[in-house]
Amino acid sequence: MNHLLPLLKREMNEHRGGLLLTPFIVGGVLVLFLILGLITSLTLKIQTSFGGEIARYALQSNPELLVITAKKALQAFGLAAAAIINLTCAIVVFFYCLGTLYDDRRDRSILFWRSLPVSDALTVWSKVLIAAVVAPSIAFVAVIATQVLMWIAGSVVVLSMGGSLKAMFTGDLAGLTSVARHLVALPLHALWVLPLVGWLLLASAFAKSKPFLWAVLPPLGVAIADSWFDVTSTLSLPKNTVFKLIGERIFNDPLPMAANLSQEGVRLAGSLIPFAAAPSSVFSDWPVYLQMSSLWIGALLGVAMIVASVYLRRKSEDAY
Amino acid sequence: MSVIEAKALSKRYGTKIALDAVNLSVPAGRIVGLIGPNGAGKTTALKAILGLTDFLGELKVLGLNPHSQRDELMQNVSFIADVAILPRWIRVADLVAFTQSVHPKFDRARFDALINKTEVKSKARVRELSKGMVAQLHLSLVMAIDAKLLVLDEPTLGLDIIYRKRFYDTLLNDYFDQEKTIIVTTHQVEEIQHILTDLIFIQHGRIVLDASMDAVAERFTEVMVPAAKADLARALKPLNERQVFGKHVFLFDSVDRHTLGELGEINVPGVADLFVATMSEQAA
Repeated sequence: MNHLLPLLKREMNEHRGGLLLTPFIVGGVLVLFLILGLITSLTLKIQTSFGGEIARYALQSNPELLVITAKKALQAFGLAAAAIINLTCAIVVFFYCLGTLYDDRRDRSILFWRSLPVSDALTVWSKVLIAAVVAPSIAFVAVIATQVLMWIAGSVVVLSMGGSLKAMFTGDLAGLTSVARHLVALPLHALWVLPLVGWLLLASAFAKSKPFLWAVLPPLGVAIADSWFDVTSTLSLPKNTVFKLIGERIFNDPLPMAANLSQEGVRLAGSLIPFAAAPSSVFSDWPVYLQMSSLWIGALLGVAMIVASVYLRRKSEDAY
Repeated sequence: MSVIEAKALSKRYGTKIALDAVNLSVPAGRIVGLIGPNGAGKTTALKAILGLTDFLGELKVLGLNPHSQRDELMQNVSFIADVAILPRWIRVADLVAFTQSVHPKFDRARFDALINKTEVKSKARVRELSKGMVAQLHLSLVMAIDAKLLVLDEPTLGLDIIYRKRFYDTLLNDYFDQEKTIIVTTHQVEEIQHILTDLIFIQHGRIVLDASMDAVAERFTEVMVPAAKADLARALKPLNERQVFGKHVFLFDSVDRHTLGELGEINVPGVADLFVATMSEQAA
């Protein structure tokens, strides 16, 4: 077990660009966009938009409204940034999983790794940890960094328009709550994505070439066959079960990324009630997810596929 | 206790028999040359010994089943497979740090001493190194591991002759001791024959010769016979005959030295000649 840390370090070394730098670069670009947007809207005074001029006047004459609006805008931006960074991270993890048990077989470096006293099980599980825990946690840090920079930029603008800095950091702190929710959702996310990670690792460990096609074509094939021949209904399952299951798995991810984001957006835009007023909301996702049988069934399936990947890796001798 | 103990070790790929009921016993403190033509089963045998493939029959390496107890076995076994196959993306320093952190028998000072004799820079990535330098790096890593069994499959492929010679000298003088066992395969037999203690010839999945170098020198005799006496020599059923500068060179297996001495000049055959002779005899 004391080999786990070196293994994780090795993965991070190999995938530094994708796993470590990418979320921060994406976050940086988003901050840059926000700053550029703020500068343009301030200096050009939104000449083209008569409504914009009125809004600016209304905000400048009412510092309280200014702070509330700025906070809401920053919360929305922060959430959008979280979603974009997490989505980028998910794409990186997708390709990481597909390559990680395949690339070293292709270039035969698996023979070097397997000449060291490190078990195949621990090797594979270290990759699972990277995909399900480490990568989303790095993305989380990148989200925080991005949101802090966004708040600083926003606060400067609010200050320049006569708003109070103190008001920016007191009262409605829904942005903070959403960060806390993001943090506590990380373990849920790890459980939630296990079947996806397991499937991709299985394809990666199994494929003699083109792991991408091995990962994508079988479910796609089943889904297409399903829509043509109604395969799942003969198993007394609703039509298009495969699509539905994969879709649910992707869009119901507990991290701010997809479906939950639109709900969050609606809540943010539609109500002035701050999240901070309801402290239980930080953990509100937990009972919802923990009660889902699909979370546990999925996690079990994921573990089964990971175990199968370990077995395939042990068996992979064609590299030598 | 034997380091390697195989009884009726077999392996087939589909209809092709790679190992055909091989019996083998290698004690500790030996340097064994495993010699055979391509496709003879050398690599399959090594794979079985290293736990990289399943097999039929009985096989114990350091008292362990290499396939089912592989993780335990790899504490005391190290190997270089075929060609240098280090991961290309990694930096030398990271590779060394990783090996050090997972291998209890890795000696950092020893590695540094070995690598400092080469041109390999610790900041370089493996993909930036020449093929020879990758092999040097890999050999340095492996020699810094205090393993009970070291398996070298074509370890010097891609290296120039100066490094090859230095490598085998270091292997013999600095690395090897009575606790260790080394198995080497190579096509450049003549380069390693002086360090070997034992010789194993393998062909068509079977062991055709398994003897210590002393026994080989005892058993096989090479005689340089003038043309006039060639028929006399042939009557003694040589393994092999070739012609050098108009003289006939015969290789005999277990024929009385005294008798052979009357025919011409007696020599201990080189492993390469013995190999060619044994292989062609088996093929005939």
